Amino acid sequence: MNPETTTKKVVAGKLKFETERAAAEAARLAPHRQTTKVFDVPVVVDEGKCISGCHVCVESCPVDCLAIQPEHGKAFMKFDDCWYCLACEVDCPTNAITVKIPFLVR
Amino acid sequence: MKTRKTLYLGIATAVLAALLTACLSTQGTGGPGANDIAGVVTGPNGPVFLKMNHLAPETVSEIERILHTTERPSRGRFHAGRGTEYGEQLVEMAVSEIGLCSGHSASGVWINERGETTVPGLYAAGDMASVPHSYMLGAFTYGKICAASAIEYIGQAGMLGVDDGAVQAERQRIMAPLDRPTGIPPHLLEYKLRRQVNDYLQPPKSANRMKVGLEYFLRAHEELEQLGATDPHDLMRAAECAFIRDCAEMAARASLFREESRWGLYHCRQDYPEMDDVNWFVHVNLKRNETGEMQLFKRPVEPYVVTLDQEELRGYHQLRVASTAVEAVN
Repeated sequence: MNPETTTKKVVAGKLKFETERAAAEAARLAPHRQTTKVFDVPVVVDEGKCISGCHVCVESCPVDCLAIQPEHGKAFMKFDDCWYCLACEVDCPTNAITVKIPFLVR
Repeated sequence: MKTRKTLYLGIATAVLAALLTACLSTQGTGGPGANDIAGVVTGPNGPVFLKMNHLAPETVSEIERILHTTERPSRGRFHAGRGTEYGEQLVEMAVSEIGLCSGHSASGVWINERGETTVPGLYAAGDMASVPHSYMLGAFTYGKICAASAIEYIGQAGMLGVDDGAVQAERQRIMAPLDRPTGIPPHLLEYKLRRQVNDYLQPPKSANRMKVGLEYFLRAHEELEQLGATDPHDLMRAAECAFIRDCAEMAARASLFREESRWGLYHCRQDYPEMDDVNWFVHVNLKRNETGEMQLFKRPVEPYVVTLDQEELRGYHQLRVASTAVEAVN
């Protein structure tokens, strides 16, 4: 029994779609765009202390979440993957980094 | 770099794993009971606390030194932020999410005493190999054993030719997400996979739930084909998603296969609440069969190198015995 032929029900967006399954397929294939808002970046870099050209913290990070801003060579947290391990903070030669414990578990 | 991440996770869960496996007895009903840690945490007397205020100050500072340096350095900052002093206040404990594979579970890549996997020339060391809960000591010890075995192997093995077709195919497989910049972001698929693991494989386990989970893990093959990445970091995360999916399928299949309960909460099956040494005092292994599917089989447990005192085994065998029965034995 084919449910699509036996159950002619109201389909949301029926002007575009014959069946709910066709609508689901189109919705599934629509492109992904990220709108996630990062509201508490845990790795805070004091750009006044951060040395341009140094990338010790980038190498320290076990989850590769830090990067260098190409404009002025200062470090920043690029990916929201921080584990709060403090390796970057401990290894930074100028103490430019402060790692915050995330607000939700503080 | 990845090793450090794994180590952090490993030791973070070690304390709890020890608590869970060395926990008190349960009702023998296949679910967390009033007498085991998991049951107490969720029961009316929960949560569970770690008590250290009876310890000598030097013991407390040694615990802090280890936990706040080698384990997870931000732990000290976390507790200080909440005003928790180990020597004064109780520290709340919780049951963490399950160890999906490797050292935090009771599983890993099958190796022999020389560190050899079933693939000639390939070695595995540490708690990702079949020495669960060995953590750093296991990693160091087996790292050395594997290195010695590998050096011996290299001395005898000839050079292998490079299969350009295979290299090209693998390059294409790894790089594919870069061709789909608007594809599924890897962190979403990772979150979804891990959530399904927690929802359907988390002990106490049942065949009904695990089969639903397994169905999703198989469907996730399609979702892996839709992953998108726009930078090397997300490309790495996309590759990790495939590994997580593989581990989830292996965990589901192996847990479904082992029709008994064992290791306290670790493999607590509500539909098979009793430990069954007659049929299941074995290792459960998975291999890829000729058609590329996962195939399960039993492997006998080799005789123990160190003879165990029966008295020592008593605590282990009482893990899932009703409290009244424990009292009767005592």
